[in-house]
Amino acid sequence: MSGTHSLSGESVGKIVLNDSCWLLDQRLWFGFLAALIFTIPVRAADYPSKPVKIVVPFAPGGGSDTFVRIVQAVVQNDGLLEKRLVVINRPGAGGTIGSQFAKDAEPDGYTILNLHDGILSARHAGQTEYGPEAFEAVAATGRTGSMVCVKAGSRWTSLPQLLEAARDQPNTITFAANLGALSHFAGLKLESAFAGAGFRYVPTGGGAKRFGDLIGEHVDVSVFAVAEYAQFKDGGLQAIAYLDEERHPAFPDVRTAREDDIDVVWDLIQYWWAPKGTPQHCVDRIVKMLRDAMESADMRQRLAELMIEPLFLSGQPLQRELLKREVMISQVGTGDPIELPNTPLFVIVVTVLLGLFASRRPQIPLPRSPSEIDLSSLAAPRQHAESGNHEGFIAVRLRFTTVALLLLFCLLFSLRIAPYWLLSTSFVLVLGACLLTHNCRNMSALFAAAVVVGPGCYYLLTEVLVIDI
Amino acid sequence: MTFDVINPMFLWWTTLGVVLGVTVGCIPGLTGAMVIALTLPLTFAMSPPDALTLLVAIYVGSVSGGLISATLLNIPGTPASLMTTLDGFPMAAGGRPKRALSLGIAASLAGGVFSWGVLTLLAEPMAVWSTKIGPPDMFSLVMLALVLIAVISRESLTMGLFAGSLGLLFAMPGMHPATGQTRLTFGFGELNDGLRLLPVLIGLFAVSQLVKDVGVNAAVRSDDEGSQDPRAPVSSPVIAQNTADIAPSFREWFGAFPNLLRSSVIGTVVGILPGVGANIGSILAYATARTQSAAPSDFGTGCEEGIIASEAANNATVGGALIPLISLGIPGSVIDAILLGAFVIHGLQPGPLLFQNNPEIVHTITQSYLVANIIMFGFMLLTARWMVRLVQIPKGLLVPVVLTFCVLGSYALANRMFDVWVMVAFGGLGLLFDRLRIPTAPFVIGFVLSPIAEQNLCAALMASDGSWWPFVQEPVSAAFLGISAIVCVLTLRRRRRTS
Repeated sequence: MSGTHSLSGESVGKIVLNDSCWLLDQRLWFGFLAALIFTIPVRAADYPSKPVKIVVPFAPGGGSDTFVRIVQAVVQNDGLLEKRLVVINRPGAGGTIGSQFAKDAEPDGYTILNLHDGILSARHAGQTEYGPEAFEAVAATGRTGSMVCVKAGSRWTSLPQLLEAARDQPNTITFAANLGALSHFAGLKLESAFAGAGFRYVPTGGGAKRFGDLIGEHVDVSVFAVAEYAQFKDGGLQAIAYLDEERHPAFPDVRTAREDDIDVVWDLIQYWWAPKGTPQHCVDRIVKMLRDAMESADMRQRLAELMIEPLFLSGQPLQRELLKREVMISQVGTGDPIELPNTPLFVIVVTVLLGLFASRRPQIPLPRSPSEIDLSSLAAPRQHAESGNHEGFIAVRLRFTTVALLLLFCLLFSLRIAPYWLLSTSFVLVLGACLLTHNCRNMSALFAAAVVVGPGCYYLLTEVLVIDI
Repeated sequence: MTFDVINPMFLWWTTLGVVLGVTVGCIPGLTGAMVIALTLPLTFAMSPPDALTLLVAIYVGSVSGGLISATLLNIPGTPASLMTTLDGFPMAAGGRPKRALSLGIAASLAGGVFSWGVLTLLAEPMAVWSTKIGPPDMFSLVMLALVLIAVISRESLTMGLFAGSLGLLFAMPGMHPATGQTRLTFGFGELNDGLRLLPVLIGLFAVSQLVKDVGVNAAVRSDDEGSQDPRAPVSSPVIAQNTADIAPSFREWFGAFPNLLRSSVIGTVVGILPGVGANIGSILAYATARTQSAAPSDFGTGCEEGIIASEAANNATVGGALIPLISLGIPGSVIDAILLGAFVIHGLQPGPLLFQNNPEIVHTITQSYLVANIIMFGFMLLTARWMVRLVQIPKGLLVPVVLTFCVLGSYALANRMFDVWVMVAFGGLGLLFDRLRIPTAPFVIGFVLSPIAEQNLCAALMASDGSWWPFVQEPVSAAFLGISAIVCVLTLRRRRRTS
């Protein structure tokens, strides 16, 4: 992609520029220069000037998602940010798909990642090349302990009992955890604290999916954040141990692992990250927003309901905490998962075989029962190409023009040599003029359509929606 | 249970969606899949219930709208209304356009309401049952879906399976759904996230279709089916200037009830089957109505039963297809594959937990489906005779405008050019598929289901410590695999017998 750095500011710059371009009409080079000049000062002056995207790298319904949506609601209700917060779930692979997305996002302050300690474990498990250093650490908000859970009515009722079973018959008890994610490390840490114990890890997905698989008896045990446990408890989840220094006040019946001489403390802090290179004033603004949010009475109450400790760290204390945790995670082994089938290879082989087979005998259609006779006529467009001989040549030429103009439009758009609204207006006008018969009615309709599609859509998308063109 | 019906925003989005859907449904060359794929990026800023309300309403409208041009002009506005042309147009041309339209519109409503009933009754039990579905079962269900759509596609079985596996292949680059390792990215950082569904769909369904439509008069579309001069209806539409306009009476409706019910059942069941959409539903219902009819020879000459069967069934597929989508996260048709994408983009996970965590979303969807059908009924009755003029919009005007939306829609997904190029490339691929007679529906379903299949495959293997036995030992999984095998063998045998 060209001009990656200027992308960020352009949307802001262009809004200012939009008016001047109207007046200058088609002198786009002036416009472009003006965009370059105006980009930086405008950007510094008013952040945020459009909604800020919060990337949640987990599926909805899990602990992270719930937490972020509460922050979003508090920020919105108390008006802690001038623009809206938009929550985007980018789940997959233990949070790494979302974190990669945020890492590669434009460092303009409009993409903020929420990711807990998983950012540390993913690198330790070899899933990502990057750790906290690839981001600007914004703040840490909220801490939760974790619960070891089974399905209510399971044959294991205490942690020692479970671990003994995992020692006597290692690698038989299934443990729902995403490989390299925190749930996985919690399991590994339990194993290391109880010599000889071994679980069989099953990658099932985020908190909500792990819960579903426990309830459906597809796995035996998993680890949930207290917030998740509170959410799923009534659905048939039972905690057998709490992995913290002391019992949780809301669940005084659940023993801590330490009470049973299993020295495992496994907690989770929610961190907020900005892509590396995000201007400091944007980071500071988000820190202020988060601090205000964490201090609001509403937030305190919601956090208490979710059993989240209202921790808040930023700046130096945050860096120290991150360092401490990185050291702790690096002391846990990574386990060795089983060999998984090479799906891409398998799919390629099958595709090639089917392709060869299909190309060898393509002429035999399906038998035609009465109900299927008319199916073939659904392929109407293809039959045009075959039947329309006399118009064929013109049609082919027009199609070629359409494709060529589309490619040119995309190319110019990607090079950003002219504002989007100008490009799209010209595209519609030129292509329409090629395809339509030139009469007064058609041309005036085309002109109207071009105006709506060009400047109209540009206004709608940049001013009303959150799209950055 | 919340009642969104009294919420003005809900009504506004539903009405907007229906109007938009009916409009594009009426215009040949614009399909529901195309418009929903293009609308999806515009819903990013909306709340999830509003967005899904709008999309479901477009879905309902687009399936229904095709009957207007089918009846009055003998041009199926969407493939789903193809069967309606067979009887709708002769009836309209014979001087009873109002009756033909009202039959079709009312049958659409009836089919829609029926499948709504099934949807509300079946979705939740099915979702509850689905917690029993473990990783091996889910994997086998995906395989069954792929086989079913390959079998039903109009080309040969091998071609259908080939298209499905091509879909799987194109979903491979990016992150491994179970381990998170990136693969097959060929060094392109932008491929780390794989090819996204939306640009792929916009390319396959919108761009390639638009390019194909260039230089082809819309009216030529009807030349396969009818003996009428294709250009005649466009220049002088058969809009109700006739005197013999008689809307069917209540008593007549009562007589049509068995046909209405049968066609709705067929449509709903076909909708529930993964991968099989409205087109097949209406064809099956039409064929069944003809075999069950007292006067089969009347079919194709302006027979009321034919219109009713086709239109009741194609609307019923919509509700049917929403059932596996909501309760299992398995799309029942191409449009449902886009809706699945909409769920994910709006942070919702279809499946059993949707009922537990976001019951309001489920209620919104089912209610918007019902309300959309009712609004569709009223809107189409009022405007059908004017909507038909939309067919006269020249292609030369539509193509550039819609292409611009294709570019914009792909870009808006993640604010990156990469998706636009993916969209353009898949537009080219769609043209190539068309030339090579590779069906696109199995491709899309394969593409969508690939990560679901792989994630469950890996989870199943890791749960069994690498053993493949659970796939045939678990009863549900074994049943799905068994049905797939039987369907495959039966199709092959039938094909051998005929050749």
